[in-house]
Amino acid sequence: MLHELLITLSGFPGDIFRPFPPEPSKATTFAIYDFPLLHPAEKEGLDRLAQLGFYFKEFNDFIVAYRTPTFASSSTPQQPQGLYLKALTNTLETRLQGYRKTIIQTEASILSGQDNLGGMVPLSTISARFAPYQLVFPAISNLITQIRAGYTSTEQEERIPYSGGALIDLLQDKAASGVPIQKEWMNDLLQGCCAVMMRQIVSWVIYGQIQDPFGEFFIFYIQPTSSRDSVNSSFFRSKLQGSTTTHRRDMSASASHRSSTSSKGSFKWQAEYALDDKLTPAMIPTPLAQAMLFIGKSIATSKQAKPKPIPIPQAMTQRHLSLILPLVVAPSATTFTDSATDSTIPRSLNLNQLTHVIHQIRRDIANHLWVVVQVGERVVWALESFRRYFLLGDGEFALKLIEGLEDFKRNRLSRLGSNINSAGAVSIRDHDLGGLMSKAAQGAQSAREDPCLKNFDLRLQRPSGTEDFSGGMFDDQLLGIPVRLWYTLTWPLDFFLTVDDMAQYGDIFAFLMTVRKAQVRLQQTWIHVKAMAQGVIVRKRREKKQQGPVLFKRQTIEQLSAADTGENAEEVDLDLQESEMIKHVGAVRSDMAFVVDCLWTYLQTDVIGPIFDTLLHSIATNETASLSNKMTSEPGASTSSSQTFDSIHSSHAEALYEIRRACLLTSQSLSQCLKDILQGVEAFCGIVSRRAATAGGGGGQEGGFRAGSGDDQDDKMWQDWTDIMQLNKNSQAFREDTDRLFADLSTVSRSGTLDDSLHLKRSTSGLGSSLRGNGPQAFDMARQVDQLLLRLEFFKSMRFNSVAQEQE
Amino acid sequence: MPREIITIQAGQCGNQIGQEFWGQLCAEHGISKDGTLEDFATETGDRKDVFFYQADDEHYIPRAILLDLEPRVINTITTSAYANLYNPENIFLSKDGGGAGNNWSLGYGSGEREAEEILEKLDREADGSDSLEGFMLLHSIAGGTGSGLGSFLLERLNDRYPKKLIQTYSVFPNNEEMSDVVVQPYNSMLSLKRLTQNADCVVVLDNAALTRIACDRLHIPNPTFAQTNQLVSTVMSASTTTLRYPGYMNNDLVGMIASLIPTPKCHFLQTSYTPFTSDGVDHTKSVRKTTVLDVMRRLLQPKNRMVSTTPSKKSCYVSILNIIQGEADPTDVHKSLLRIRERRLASFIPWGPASIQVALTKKSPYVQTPHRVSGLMLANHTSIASLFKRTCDQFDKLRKRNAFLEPYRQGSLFEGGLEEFDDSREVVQDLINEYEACENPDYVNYGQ
Repeated sequence: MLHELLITLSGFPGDIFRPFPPEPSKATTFAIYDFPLLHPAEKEGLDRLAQLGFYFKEFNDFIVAYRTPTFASSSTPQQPQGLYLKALTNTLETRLQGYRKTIIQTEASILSGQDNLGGMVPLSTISARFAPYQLVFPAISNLITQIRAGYTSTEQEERIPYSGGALIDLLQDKAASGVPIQKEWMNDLLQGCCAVMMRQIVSWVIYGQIQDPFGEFFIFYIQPTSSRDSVNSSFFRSKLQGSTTTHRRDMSASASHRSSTSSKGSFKWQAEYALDDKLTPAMIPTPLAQAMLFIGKSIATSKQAKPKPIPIPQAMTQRHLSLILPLVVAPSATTFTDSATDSTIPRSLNLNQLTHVIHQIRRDIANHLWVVVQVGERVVWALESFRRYFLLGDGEFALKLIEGLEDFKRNRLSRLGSNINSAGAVSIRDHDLGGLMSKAAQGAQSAREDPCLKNFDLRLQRPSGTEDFSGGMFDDQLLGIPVRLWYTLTWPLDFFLTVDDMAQYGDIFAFLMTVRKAQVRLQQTWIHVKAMAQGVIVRKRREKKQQGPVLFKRQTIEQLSAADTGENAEEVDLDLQESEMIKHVGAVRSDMAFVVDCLWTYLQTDVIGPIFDTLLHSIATNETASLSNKMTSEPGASTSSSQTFDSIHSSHAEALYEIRRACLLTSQSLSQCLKDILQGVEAFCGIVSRRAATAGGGGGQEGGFRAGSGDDQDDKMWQDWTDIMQLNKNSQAFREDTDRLFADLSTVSRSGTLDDSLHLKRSTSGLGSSLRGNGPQAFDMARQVDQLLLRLEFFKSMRFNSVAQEQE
Repeated sequence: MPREIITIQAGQCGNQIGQEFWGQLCAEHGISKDGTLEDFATETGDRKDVFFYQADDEHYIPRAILLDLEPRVINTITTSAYANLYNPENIFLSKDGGGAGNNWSLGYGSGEREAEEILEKLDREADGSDSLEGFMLLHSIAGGTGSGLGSFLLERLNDRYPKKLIQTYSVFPNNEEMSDVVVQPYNSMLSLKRLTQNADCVVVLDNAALTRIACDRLHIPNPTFAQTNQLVSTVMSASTTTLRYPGYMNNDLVGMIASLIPTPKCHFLQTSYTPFTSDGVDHTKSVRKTTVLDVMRRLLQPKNRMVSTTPSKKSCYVSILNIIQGEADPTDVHKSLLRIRERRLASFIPWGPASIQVALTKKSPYVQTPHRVSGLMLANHTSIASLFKRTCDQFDKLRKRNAFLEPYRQGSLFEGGLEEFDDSREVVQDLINEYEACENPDYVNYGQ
């Protein structure tokens, strides 16, 4: 009988103890079916012990089933696999050794008669021996059922494949138990899984490799299925992961998110490895996971570096290894004796230590990259060149480029006709634009010998099939067709920058170029205006010479009296009219120039200057800090510099976004408003230069704003008239546009402190939402807008406001 | 392909200023006195070719044309340390060497006589540049050569290069005290007409103010011409820094001028500069506080202005461009603008938008100054009219008496009578009226 019991405890049913409930239904325990000799209390006690046996059998089944994961398990697609599960079963197996031992000990003591109390073994003795397991086994059984259910449940929603982080989470959850022994067991199981994770972490953090055949590690390799150009890169995780994660790569200009983790460029640094939130155990905080991701990425990428791999030095690897290895919990290494004795050995994963070590490694790696690979230097270098070319810091180059583009437009596009947007317009090739670039670079002395420039090129923005990609608003302002400036990223810059960043730079470039072009056009117009004004004087002088000085004198007197109706008076009248007209044109021009100048200085002085200076400054200080850190290598004092790489990365992204926002590019309505203004300027300049051209052709005799006289000039007069009307309309429209801009800006400025008004919602919805989204930045935005406003209405607030009030 | 600027220096004053100016430019660009690049001048990023061109032998040669009717000043230059700097072909000396004798008419006349040779030099220089932007004329308007020959050149340049800019640095006489040249008002008046009609931008410098600044700011009791000329050259070099050290602002002359001059007629600019230091004067009281705000505020103070004007209550700025050199923090600019607006330190025209435009530029790496930042203000201010008015008053006094007119009758321009005088008076009066009209809100009416 006792042996029957022991066999049952070992998990094998016998004659007495049989699976219960019987066959058709699923057995949940072993029980004595029919044994009349027993007292009900005895039966109950035996049944309780038999239950343990059933659990044990269940565990063994589980272990057998899950321990040897079959790779080619095509027949059973639901077959759960995974290192973590394997580790779990292993640990469980080890733990169960104790139980087996207890059975053997019990048998031994029964046989030796140790437990005999007068020839019989009391049930209570055996019960007492197995008492601890009575507490633990149900919980474990629960756990196993849960894991099983996670895999096999037919309901799609309920299926939670417990693997990787999820399993660890589950175990951790269970380990938080009030029953000490339960807690201990669960903890053991947990540590078993953690050991696997630690090994993966070590392999990742030291060698940059992912040892993860079942896709359980929280850092994963993105399958290079997405080609370089494809916009939506969706990738498939191993089949364990139920949901496919699709990453939206939104390169569209208006997109305003900038989180460095959410947007994935198609470059190595961003695109090859990623964190999987679902698989990250709760015990690993996100910053720590990010840090690990960074380390591995750095190592992996630097190993695969294109021109020549830059492996991490052996010494450093060794040092890191010695740092991290003690932390690895290895159940096989720690000799398992008894749960009571090994409490002295630190068997649990010490998260604090791990965090510390990871940060230390991370700092080392970052410093290594920064110093050895000289990323920092190159980044600074690249950023400076971006400032020069993308952000038009090199005014000379921009000027030349504008000139070149204008010439190109005149020569080429006029031949093609104005309707360029049709598909046939591709007769302009990237090659032509490349020529323009190099020509502009030749022109500007500062850019002539700049090696950075070869990475820049102008590209036509062909209407591509993907709707996702919409170019910036100002792309078409340069040539009439969408053209953008791109920068080809090379190692090790792709460490740092993404294509998204480049696209954003391109946006800003297009915008700045548009502003600059308007400025240049206005300056050219100034020359036209002055030439026309001088033309009037020249004409007068010639007339004077023809008519002789005496007559001239009379004429001026007549001009003052303006009473004579003779031909001379009419002539004088026309002259007067013309100089009045020129004066007005000049004033309108200066109005426009003022707004454009303000915009330009605001952009360069208030926005780009400070933002870039702080960015470069922070990079520089970071660099020196990391350098000095490498010298002293003091672990405590470097929390800031340990962030070097990523902090710079994020501060760059922030700076870029900041600039975009301050350029008012993030708000649809505001940038539309600016575009209207700039186009108005463009149109105005066009008219004036047309008039000036006719004036120049006539050698200062005709054209200008001299109204025609006489019948033969009817056509001309009509032309003049329409031109003048057009100019008036133009200046009116310009004023309305600036007033609109001003009103919108004012509301934004006010909203910085006063929150939203109806007006804000109407006019600046795009900006408004981005303002409300984040508190401190909203304040910043208001500050920047204030700077622009200050420049626009420097000494009096009434000009624009009065107009605004009139409108209301 | 730089935007070259050709400098023309006419007369005694023009050449003296020019000499200082080229000395200053050479120092700032690290060019030695004979035109070769100094060994320490290794930094790139400056644009020497705006004002210099390189001969085959690495020599930097100024794009300058030196004109005078008497040999004294030019001889000083050709015997100075800078003798080898200039292209000898670009030096024009009148053959008789008698000078213009402070007679505008003589200067103008000799210009007409020697037009071919002078213009040949100009054309050669213009042909030698890829994309000529304009001319810079240095002269005084009181004497004979600078005013007469200068006026002639202004007319001719205007005819010949209508699309090029002509900027002049014109030194106005010290008309607070009686000068030794009695016909000064005549010369000024006749020159002013050309400056009004033919120049695109006139930077007005005033001997009275220059002397005053030298006394007050530099604490020199009796400043010499060399010392005041150094002030002028500082202003000139500062006003061209944006061209020579390219940044994102004002890479060309037109950009600078166009933002300052709203209507073509009002193109007379005043300047201020701070803080002044002078090599000649070591014991200058050092100006310690040189923040951007300080510089910008001091620039607005009348005592720093290099023109003596008597502003009326209605006087106001048409436009202001501040060029801040040195390590200025861009964020300071905004703060300073805010402060200046709060304190209402400057009043602007009522008929259009205007504000202080600020351009930040680099400083020459080769010239050490004790100040972190220095600034130049180019301002278009309506009070300039008072200067013209004074000239007019003095002119009227002489003209009423028909005094000293005889020497002028020899000139070809006056063969038919003295109408040119009255015409000039008329033009200047128009100019004064224009500036006064500028002070009214209805100066420009749109859509009429």
